[in-house]
Formats: sequence, structure tokens, C-alpha cells
Amino acid sequence: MRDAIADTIPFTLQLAGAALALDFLLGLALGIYQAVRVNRLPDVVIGNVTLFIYSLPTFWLALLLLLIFGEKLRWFPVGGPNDPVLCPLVDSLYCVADRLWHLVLPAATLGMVGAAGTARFQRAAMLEAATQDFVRTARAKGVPERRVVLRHQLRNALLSFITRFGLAFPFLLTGAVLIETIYAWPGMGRLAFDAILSRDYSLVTATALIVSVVVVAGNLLADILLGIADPRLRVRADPDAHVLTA
Amino acid sequence: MLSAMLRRSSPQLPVFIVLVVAVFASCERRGGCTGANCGVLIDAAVAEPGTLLPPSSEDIVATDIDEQLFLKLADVGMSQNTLGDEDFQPLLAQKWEWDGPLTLVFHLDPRARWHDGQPVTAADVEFTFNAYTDSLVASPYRPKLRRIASVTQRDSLTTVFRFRERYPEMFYDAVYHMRILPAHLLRPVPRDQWRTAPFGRQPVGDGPYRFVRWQAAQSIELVADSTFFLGRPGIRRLIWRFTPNLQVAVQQVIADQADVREQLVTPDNVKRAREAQQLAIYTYRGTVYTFLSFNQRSPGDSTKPHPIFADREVRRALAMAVDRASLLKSALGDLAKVPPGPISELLWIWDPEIRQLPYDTAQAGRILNARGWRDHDGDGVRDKDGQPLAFHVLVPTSSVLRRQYARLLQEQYRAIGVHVEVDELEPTVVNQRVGTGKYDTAILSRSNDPSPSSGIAQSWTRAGFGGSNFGRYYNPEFERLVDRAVTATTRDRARPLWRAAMETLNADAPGVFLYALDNVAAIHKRVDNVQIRPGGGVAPAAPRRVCRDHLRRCHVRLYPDSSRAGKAVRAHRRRRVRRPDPVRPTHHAIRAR
Repeated sequence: MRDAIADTIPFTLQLAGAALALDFLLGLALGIYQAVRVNRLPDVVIGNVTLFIYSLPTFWLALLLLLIFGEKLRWFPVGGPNDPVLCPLVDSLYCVADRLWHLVLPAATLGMVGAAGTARFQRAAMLEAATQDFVRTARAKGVPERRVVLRHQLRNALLSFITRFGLAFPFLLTGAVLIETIYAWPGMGRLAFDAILSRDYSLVTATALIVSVVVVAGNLLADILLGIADPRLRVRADPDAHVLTA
Repeated sequence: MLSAMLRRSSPQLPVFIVLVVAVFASCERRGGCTGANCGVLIDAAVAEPGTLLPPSSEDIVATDIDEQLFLKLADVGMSQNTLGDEDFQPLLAQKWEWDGPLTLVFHLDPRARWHDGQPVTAADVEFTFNAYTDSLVASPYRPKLRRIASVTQRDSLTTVFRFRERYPEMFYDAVYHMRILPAHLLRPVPRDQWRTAPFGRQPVGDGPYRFVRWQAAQSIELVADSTFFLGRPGIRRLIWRFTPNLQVAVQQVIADQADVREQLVTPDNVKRAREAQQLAIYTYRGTVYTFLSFNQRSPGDSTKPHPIFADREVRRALAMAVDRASLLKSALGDLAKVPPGPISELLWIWDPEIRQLPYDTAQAGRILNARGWRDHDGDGVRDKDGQPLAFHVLVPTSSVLRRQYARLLQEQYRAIGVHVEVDELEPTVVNQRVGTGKYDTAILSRSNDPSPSSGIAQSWTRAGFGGSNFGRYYNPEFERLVDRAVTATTRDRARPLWRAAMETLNADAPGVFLYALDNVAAIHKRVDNVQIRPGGGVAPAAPRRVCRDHLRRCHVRLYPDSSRAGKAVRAHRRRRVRRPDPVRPTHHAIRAR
């Protein structure tokens, strides 16, 4: 069991990592873009598209992407983590690239749905930050608009983004169960899925435990990042102040 | 920092993406090789085997892989004639001779080597037989070896089989069920740990291919043994790529990421594969039949009769209530046939003229009425003594077809007032419940050996109680007919006996025989000259020629009928003085090479 889990964890981390990167980079960019062009055509279009993608079942999107980009267009591999002919093992730069190539569809499936949600959250946070006094003051002082958005508005809007980062772990890890099965990705999700089907209770328990640890770790990381991003949320060393101060 | 990064990267990011895409698009596949023995064949497989140790591996993929790794003493030829020894091709055994009516002597090829360099000896054959028949190993092939009394070594290259009795398929039993194992590597492994032994995941064989690697949930790779004593295989590498389900496997072949999918199974998959220009479609006779098994004993207590299925007349009525032809048409189109009994199309006893119970719902209703199963309370379900005529059907979640059939059966039974609950469970759970008799009915699939003798006896006679006769069907007349058919000396004599046995069984309705699939394989067109051995699937047993690399058009002979061994057998037949009598084996030898 230990070997089985050890074999699969790297694959799940690769998939979750890539999906997370796509989720937040794309989601952040779209959210900022929408907030800057609020109530204009790009905002409306992106808002509807992200809502549509966010509403899609992940497994359905996976099948759709697989059919279009894997089977019909043949741009990406339809499954597996690497080319079994040339790269049975990742032992060269080419094989690293091959692994990334195989990651595109599963990571895009997981990441796109996440990014759609992130974009909507980020847009709302940016718009809320835009109403703050310091943003108005910055504009009044003649700070360039790009600087206002990226330095003043975005930094304050990042708090919800970081909170969402912590919450994204459970979504990614549970979503990976279906995605790994559909894309034949040999990660922990597929292992857990097979273990559930074969009633391998100890393996199911072990995978659930690992997922729990990762979720807690993700939330802990999010809390730390929140503290870094917002000095108001830091815990003081003052013995009389073992509470979050605002 | 983030803003700086965004500011810096925004103009470069699209360029970077374009560059990455360009690099990928321009990448050519490396690793191609040159020469006569080259190429790679990727088989899109569905089920990953648990082990490759032959006595413990029964599933199709493991059997395919083992065929490349471990040799038998000899194998059934293309004719699939299992009577006598004349149609067998020598493999590990260079020649053999009958030393009296019950003694068979094999002379091993002195050139045979294990992949670690050790010679293959008679001690390995003796060890193999002892392992296959050891209850600790619990090999599924053990019952098929019950008529072999012993296997001993006369010298390092001569092994002696002694049989308990004389029968036409003595030779078949001696060579077909066992793949010879390396005693020097497996002797130290406790027999009760064989199923989980590391050897099963890193096997050392003596076949045309060597084991290279097994990546869990991904693939198993073999490489051609350039020193193989029967000639270097044509394809350099064989890869079985594992997918979680049939659809992904089919998709990989269609998307040109695998070369072979041995069974497409459903009409929709066949249609999609036909539309893929790079694929060639091959249809071959299947080895599997699928049936609805009626458990004649009470679930979980084999000492008590089942309240419904112990009654022969009720079973007959339930069999007559199923329109198998229309079920087959709606689920499988022309990809399968209604089996005339518990046999697949592969078996030579297949005969559509075998008498079967007709589809007759009126008659079925009359029988059920006569047996007291009437709808007394008007709820649409027949009942008797307050007990509704209701039962569960077990189906594995892994089989789309069987799940579909379960629902269709549910509808057909509803029409005659029988309530059916469908239980879709994971395959291992289905196997466990069926194996322990804890079921009412189950849709099961069975694979036939080339010979009807062992499989039918094991599945439908008392010899299979506690084994694979899950429904505990027993009819002394059927067993008598099977015994006579098994000992018939020729197919012509055996055929009417098998037919009578099948008709007896059909009349008892121990199950409803639903479909026997025609196998349809999709194979990349770069693989040509494909020959499919009956019953053997399309895995390349001894590919002969292949092109230069993975992406080039190849010329592959998947099964050799003109191999050195085949030619030797035909040469032997030409110069043979006396034909071997399958019932009275005489002292003769086949000199293979």
C-alpha cells in the first residue's frame, strides 16, 4: 500500500499543481481585466463565459476536451502521463516536456473550472477595493491607473484570492479522482477510485487521510499568506492579545 | 513583485507560449531504430493484471503478456485440434514420444535458456507441475491437471508425464495449461505467497520477450530477446498501456496513440474505429459466452434449495420469457450470436441446430400459473404463498453490456409479472458473491478453452461444485453424456454426444444463454499481415517482421503458421510412418527441428 501511494502522489501533485497554477493565474488575470472594464462588453462576455464554465460538471468538460482536442484534432494525448514508447521514464528534458504535454488536457479541465470561479471572486474583490478611500485618494493624487490597479487595488483584493487558494485544495484533490480516471492519469485520485470499487478499505482510508492532511496544510499556508499580505491579520506576540486584531 | 512580474511578462508570455508550442510541434519522435528487428507495438489494455506469475494469472491481459514471457512445452496449432498430438506445435519441447499408453516423454530443447542465462531443464518442468497442482498456489488451472499423476525428470533434458487414465486429450492437458517456470528463482518463494511475490511483477521467463518494466497503472513493457532460441522476434518492443476503462482504450487507438485494441465490444466502438482511417478492423470468433446464471441453492446456504430456481419448471419458464434474439439485436447488432448452449463460437461443438427452449411468453406464463405463481394481489407481480416472484440480478459495474442486458431483462421479466432488482457491483465483489453462492442470479461471462472437455465439465457438472459451477447445476444424464463425449476418439464421434449433452442442459435451463461475442479488433494499418490465432486474441505471439520504427509502416506476422516450428511439424507429418492414435498412444516421436 505504501508503495502504491508513493507511486501515485507525485502524479497527483503534478496535476494539482498545474491545475492550481492555471486556476489562479488565469482566474486572477480575468478577474482584474473584468474589474478594469466593468460593465463593458469584455466584462459581460467574460462574465457569462466564466459562469458557463463554472456551471459545467468537470467530468463532462473532461470528456468534451478529450473528444475535441484528443480524438478529433489530435493536438494532445488522450490519456496517460507520458509517451510509453519514447519516455517510459522522465529522464531527459524531452521527457519533461512530454510530461507537460500530457498534463495539458487534465490540468486544463481542472484549472479552467477553477479559474472561472476565481475570476468571478477576483472581479468582485477588485470592485470592492475600488470603492475604498485609499484607491480614490491614489487616483486623486494622480497615480497612474496601472499602478492604482496593480499596487493599490489588487493588493487589497488579494485577501479573498488567498482565502480561495486554501479552499481550492479540496476541490482539486476531489476533482482529480474523476479527471485522473477519465485521462488515465495514474495519480492518487485514480488509486482511490479503484480502491473504492474494489472495497480496499485500508487504501481508501490512507488516501482520505492524505487528502485531509493536504487540505489542512493548504489552509495553513493560506493563513500564513494572509498574514503576510495583510499586516492587520497578524497575531501579536503580546500575551494579552492572542486574538486576531483588526 | 506580482505587479512587476505581470508588467514584465505580459508582452513575453504569448511569445513564450508560441515558442513552446512550436518546439512541441517540431519535435520528431526519437528512439527509432534500424534493421530487420525493430518497431514498437502498443496494446491499449483495460485491466491491469495483479501478477504475471502464470499459475496465478488468469485474466486476458496477463495471459497475453505471459505468452511472450513463458513458453509451454508445445501449443495447439491453428487447427485448434486438441485430440491426440498431431496438430500441436513444439515450443520448449524439441520432441516427444509415448512410452506406453499412460506415459508421455518430452525432450527439451537444449538451446532453451531463461532470461538470466540459466538453461531450461526437466527440473523446471517437474517444479512447474508441482506448483500448478499445489493447493497453496491455488492455481485456477489445477483442476485441469487432475488426470496427470506425476511429472518427473529422467535426465536434465527429459521429463516424463504419467497419467491416471487414457483419454484423447492427454497431450493437450500435458502441454496446454502450464507455462514452464524457473525453479531456481521460484523454489525459495513460499507457495502461499506466490500471488504477491515480487517475481510476479518482475518475471524472468524463457520466451521470445524479456520483461523490462512495469509502471503501476501505466504500462508493462517487454523487449525482444535477441538470443531467443526459436529465432529473434520481429517487433523490438511490446507495450501494454493500461487505461481505466474500455472507452479510454478505444479512444487511444482511434487517436493513434496505441496500435492494437483487441476487443472493441460494442457496435458504437466498432463504428468509431471504422471511421478512423489509420485503423484496420478484424473480426474473429470469440472465446466468451455470457449467460444469466440461476443459483439453484439458497443464497449463502448451499444445503437448501433456492425458493425459485430449484424448480426446473420455473427455470424453464424464466428462460422462455427472454427474447434473446431481440435483446441481442438491440444491444449488439450483428456483433454477437445467441449461443446454443454454454459454448462460445470458438468451440467446434458450436451448432445452431442444437435444440433450445423457444421464446414463448404465453407458455412461460402457463407454466408459472401451473406452479402456483399467480398475481393474487393484483400488484403486477406474481406471488405464491405470500412470496413475490422477485429476485436480484448481479452485474459488474465494469461491463457496460451486462448492465445494459440486466435492464433489458428486467423489462422482459416485468412483462410476465416477475420483479427483478438489478445490483450493479464492482467486479471483485460480484466474483466474491458468486463464488460463495450468495446470489439469486448473475450475468456471468465464461471463456472457453479450445477444448470443450475441461471447461464444460468444470462449469456445469458436479466436478465444479465449490469451483466454477456456481449455480450448482446437476443432472446425471448430462454428466453421463459429457463423460462419453470427453472420451470419444474423434470429433465425428464426439459431436452428437456433445449435442445431446447441450440439449439436455438446455432443457433443464440452469441459465439463460444470452450472447456469444464475435471479437472485433482494431489494429493500426502499419501492422499488416495480421494473423489471428483462434482463441488466442491478436497479441503478437511470435511476430516475424516489422518496420524500422514506431511510426513507420510495418509488416508483422502476429501468429506464425509458417514459423520454423510449423514447418517442422508439417515436415514431420510428411515423413511420419504411423499416425498417433489419440486413444492408444504409440511409441513415436515428433522431431521438430
